[in-house]
Amino acid sequence: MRKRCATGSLSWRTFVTMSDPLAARVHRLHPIWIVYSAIKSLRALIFPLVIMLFSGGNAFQWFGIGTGLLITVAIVGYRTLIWNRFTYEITARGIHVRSGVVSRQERFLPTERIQTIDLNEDVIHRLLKVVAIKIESAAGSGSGADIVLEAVSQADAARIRHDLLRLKTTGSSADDPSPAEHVIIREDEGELLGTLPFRRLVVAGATSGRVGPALGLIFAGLQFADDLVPLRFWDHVLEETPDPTVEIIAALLLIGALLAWSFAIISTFLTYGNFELRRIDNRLQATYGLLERRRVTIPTARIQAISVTEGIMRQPFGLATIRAESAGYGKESAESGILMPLLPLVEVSAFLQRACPEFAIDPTTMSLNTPPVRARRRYLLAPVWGALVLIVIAILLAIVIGPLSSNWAVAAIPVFVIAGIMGWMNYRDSGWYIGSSGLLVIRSRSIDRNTTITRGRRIQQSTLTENPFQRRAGLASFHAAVASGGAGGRISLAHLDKDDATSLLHVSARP
Amino acid sequence: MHAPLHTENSGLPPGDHIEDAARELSPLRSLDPRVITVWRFDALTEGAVALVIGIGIGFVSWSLEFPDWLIVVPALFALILATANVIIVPSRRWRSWRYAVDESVIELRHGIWWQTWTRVPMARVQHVDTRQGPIDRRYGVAILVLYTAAGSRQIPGLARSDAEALRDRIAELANIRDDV
Repeated sequence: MRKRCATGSLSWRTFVTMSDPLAARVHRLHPIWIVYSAIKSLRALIFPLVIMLFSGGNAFQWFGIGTGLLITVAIVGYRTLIWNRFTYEITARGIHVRSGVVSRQERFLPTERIQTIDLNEDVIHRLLKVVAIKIESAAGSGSGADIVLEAVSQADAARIRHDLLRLKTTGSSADDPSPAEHVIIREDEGELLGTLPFRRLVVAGATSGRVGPALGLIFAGLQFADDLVPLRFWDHVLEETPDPTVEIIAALLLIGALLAWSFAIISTFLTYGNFELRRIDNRLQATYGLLERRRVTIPTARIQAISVTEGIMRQPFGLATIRAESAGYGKESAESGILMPLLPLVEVSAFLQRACPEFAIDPTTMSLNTPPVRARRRYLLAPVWGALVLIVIAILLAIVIGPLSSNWAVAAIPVFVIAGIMGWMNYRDSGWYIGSSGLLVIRSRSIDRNTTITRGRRIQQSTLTENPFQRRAGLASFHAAVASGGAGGRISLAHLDKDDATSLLHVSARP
Repeated sequence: MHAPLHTENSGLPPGDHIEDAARELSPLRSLDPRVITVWRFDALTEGAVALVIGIGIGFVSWSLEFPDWLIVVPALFALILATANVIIVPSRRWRSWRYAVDESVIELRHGIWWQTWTRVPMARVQHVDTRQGPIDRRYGVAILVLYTAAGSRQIPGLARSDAEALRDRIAELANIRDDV
């Protein structure tokens, strides 16, 4: 492929016969993709640039603006090259994508391997009036098995979907969807398995523990206030306010916490607003998000494991989050395999029964096998050792930074107590259950309590590890992995009786 | 569902400990002893890289006028570790390594202190490779790499012909069942 033809038509289209009704043509994405992808890659840069603009001296500002412009030009230029290189072609046999500026890639997905064709829009898509098409293959699991056309016009999207579906059903094109914009997200297909009513959404936000976005916003706000409001004003404020007493500090902390909490609720609303889980034929489809509407489709046959997570703030209320670990998912983000963002534990059994009966268990009534009592000390002490290391580092830092007051040693005590309690909870919650026909349930806790439900035949590899101390006590740890990019695909249970661990090893790696 | 293999936890040294399970598999096999030399070379290379980094750190520490012991003590410690890594570890590691392959499962056991025992069901193997670095080639050994949908596992230090035979056998056995 050294030679590049100006028209973009490529010489080796030999398998396409001239009588092909689709008259295979090489297409590019909508040119607006350059803008779209530039915005996406610049999004990460905007915040630091804004900080640079509003802070520091004049020279620093010009430096910021200059760098920003340079980066923008470079990104847009490179994106244009990528856009020029990215071509797709729909033939009678499937879809063929060629891409890559430096190293070239070619991908061909035969029609019969196409599993789902999803049309997605995020906020930028909506603004630019384009859609993304994700074409997933049945093989899935590997990287690069799916084809994503990140921006095509709505008319093109409808046409592509129509063509591929028609090819897939080999000619029976009678019931094709009308090529109107309405095709883009059809909300009413299939059987509705679950929604997230307003009240649950509020509860989900209130117990989400999402502090990241809140902290970011507060930090940005402080930065803004610091840079834009004249210093005299702050002097004035400081003069007016009484000396910081415990009450004032407590009040400020309370306000901060409340702010963070409301941000958590808002961000949960934005992420999971209008949540819907449906079953369409043999796949589950979750659609959610207020601004950015996301859609995740998981063929039920590809679900490797189900994880039921009871967040530390949700467990007291008997609430859980349900995720599906699926081959080919999980690499995009932590929430890509979400089945229900919030569900009372008592409803989990019925929900799993409907959504994926292969993994249906009742977590409320299940009795688990547990690690032996002689493992308790290890569970308890593991986080304590961790805390000790952290405290030693903190003390060393304190010595380096400034004079160390012995008062700080007192602060270490609650850290140890909390670590010990976490360890004890981990011991109390760890357990497993081996059911009929290879059903395997593993429960453990790091901070949140997590119950993973899988099948022996879904496990790709399983490992037993022993360190010298465990060996002396006749203990071993069990690890297993299912085919999933996410962290939920890795199962682990520490300090089991060696015989128990060995039987787990054999059940789970059963062919 | 057959009864789990019972592994008696006796106070035997690691090498013996690993062999004591009553087995239904084909017998556990050792690696080719030539791999010990390869591992020694690997350890030497690691040591050389560590030395370069250590010199860099030492230089920075010297130019910042840190106390001497702050660099001398870790350096001595690193030297002892590196020496052990070249002289003792490779032969101990070789003794700890066992593998077995039958129609339904591949088993790997290794580890001097931290022992691991891994089972990869044959039906889950997606593909299998042999790999040889320049030192491997010099000593006629090869690494067998097994890929599943959840990552890869290696059997290092097989005689080249053994590695290739095993690779072909696993490829054949794994292809018989092609359910995902």
